[in-house]
Amino acid sequence: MDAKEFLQRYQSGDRDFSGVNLGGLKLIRADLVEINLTGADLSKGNLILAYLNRAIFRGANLEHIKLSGANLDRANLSSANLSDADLHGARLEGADLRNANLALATLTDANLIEADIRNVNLSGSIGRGACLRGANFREEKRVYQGANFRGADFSFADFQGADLTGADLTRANLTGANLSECCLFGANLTEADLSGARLNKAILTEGNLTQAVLVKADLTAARLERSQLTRANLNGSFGQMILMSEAKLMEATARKADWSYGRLTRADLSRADLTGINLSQADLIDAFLTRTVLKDSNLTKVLMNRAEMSSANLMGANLFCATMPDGSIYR
Amino acid sequence: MSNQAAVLTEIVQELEQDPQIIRIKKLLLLSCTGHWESDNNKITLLDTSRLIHRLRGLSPKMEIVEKRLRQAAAYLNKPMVYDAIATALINKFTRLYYSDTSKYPAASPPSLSKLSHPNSPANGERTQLSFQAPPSADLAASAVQKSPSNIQRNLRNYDWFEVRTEVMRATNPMRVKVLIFFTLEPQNNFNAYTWASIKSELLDRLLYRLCEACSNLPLLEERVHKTVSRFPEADDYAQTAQGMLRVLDRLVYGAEDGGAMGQRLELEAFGATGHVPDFKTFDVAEPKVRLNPNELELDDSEESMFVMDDAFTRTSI
Repeated sequence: MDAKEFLQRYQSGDRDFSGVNLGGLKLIRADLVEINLTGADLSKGNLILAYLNRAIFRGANLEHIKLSGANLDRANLSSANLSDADLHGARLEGADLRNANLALATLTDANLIEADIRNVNLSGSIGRGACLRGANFREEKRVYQGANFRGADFSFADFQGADLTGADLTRANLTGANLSECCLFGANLTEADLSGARLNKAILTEGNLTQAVLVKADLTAARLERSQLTRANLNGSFGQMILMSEAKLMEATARKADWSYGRLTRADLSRADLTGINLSQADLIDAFLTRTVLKDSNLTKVLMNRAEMSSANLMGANLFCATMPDGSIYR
Repeated sequence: MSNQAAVLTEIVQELEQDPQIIRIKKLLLLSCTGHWESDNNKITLLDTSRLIHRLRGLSPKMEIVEKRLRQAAAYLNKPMVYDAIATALINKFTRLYYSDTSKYPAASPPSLSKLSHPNSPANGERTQLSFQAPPSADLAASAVQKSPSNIQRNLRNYDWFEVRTEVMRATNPMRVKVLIFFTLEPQNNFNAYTWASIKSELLDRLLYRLCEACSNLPLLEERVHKTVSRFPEADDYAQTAQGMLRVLDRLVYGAEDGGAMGQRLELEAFGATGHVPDFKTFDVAEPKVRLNPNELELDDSEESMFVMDDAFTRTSI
């Protein structure tokens, strides 16, 4: 079927095109609202700026398709193959993308607000500046796995408030992204780049942030209890009231970070470089500070009861009114 | 002869003696018009001083010249060669923009022919001031340099995630990007080069630049409406414009005075002003540069960069 015949059939009222082969067709700006293309083949098609609101693409082959600027609000794209698809600037508000394959797809500046993205493969995709507020990524045991963002580039994307529990964000680029109030419980952020990201009030409890980069990230009141931050780079991070109880920060760096009022009870900071850090009024009770570098740090009124810090480097540190490991107050 | 004219003559003479003059003119033409000309005979006939004059006219600031040249170079399939040419041109053009060149260190630029030799060490390392949009995190930094109005002074204080989200809810993100791009760069026409430019810059950055360029809402509306009138599908873009303007009025321009546009629209609804914005009848600002995308020569020359789907170029934006 060629584009002309296809559009004529649609205009005459035909809506069911399940299973048809439309591969490579050029349908730029076409009005195909509520079309049913279940299981159809539209690979390598060109539907730039097309109107596809509430269209059904369930299980369709949309590989390499151009959907830049297309309107796919409330469309059903579940189980569709969208690998290497171009969705730059597309509207996908409230779209159903469950189980879809979006590996290597382009989602730059796409609107994915309130989209259902459970069990979606986004590995290697590019979603710079995409808006994913209210999107549903939730992991559900035995039904939906956490979202797969391995190696994806979602720098400056907006995930505010999204549920990314159990997501795999290994080596993802989240530079400047908005992840405030997100739930990333148990997420894998190994080697992810979160420089300048907003993570205020985010839940990263039990997350794996090994070797992650969080330079100048906003971690205000973020929850990182029991998280793995070995060799992570947290230089210049802003984390007032950060919760890091029992977190593993071995060999991490947090030079000139501000973690004042933070709770780091039983945190392992051995060999970490915390030069110039502000930990005033923080809780470091029972923390491990073996060979930790705390040069020029602000430790005023910090609580360090029973902390292991005999080999810590405290040169130039300000310990005014700090509670020392033996319970005494430093004067 | 004025000082500027003397400097221009001097630069033209230097460039025309350079063995790379053909490539220099090609890059200048692309930077000015978005048009790639591969026919060397046609290029030879082009007047170098007019090209420079045109580029100067399109770029009130040195930073804009630099950006245009870098962008053009980055999208050719010999980016290193052309980036080196861009670097040398930028060094020369500083004399046009800065009367006291000591403020802008660019002393003794090497010969273009040396720079642009493919095997030259200079080409091994490409200058990274390229087409990539400045990261959104740098918004604040760029805002520091501006200061003419309250809006422009306060831009960095707005939550651009919020602005972008609301614009995305109200409009089609791609259409709004296209609209903003042509509002900011009215001299351009739609072609592969501008399409690539639009896709390379993030929406929040474009929104920021738009607000930075328009110190008040009426000016913004006027410029946006003029752009809308250039589109064949004016209705679609009028709707996009309306959605974007409402958001910018509420979250940026009207943030301090309760939303001027909202108040005016409310009055219009009751016929109080007698003015109904009609994008179609708005004064059409004819583009200074007229280029039909179909006229682009998509030949197989080594530098041909246009890889965009030609079917899309045949459609209107």
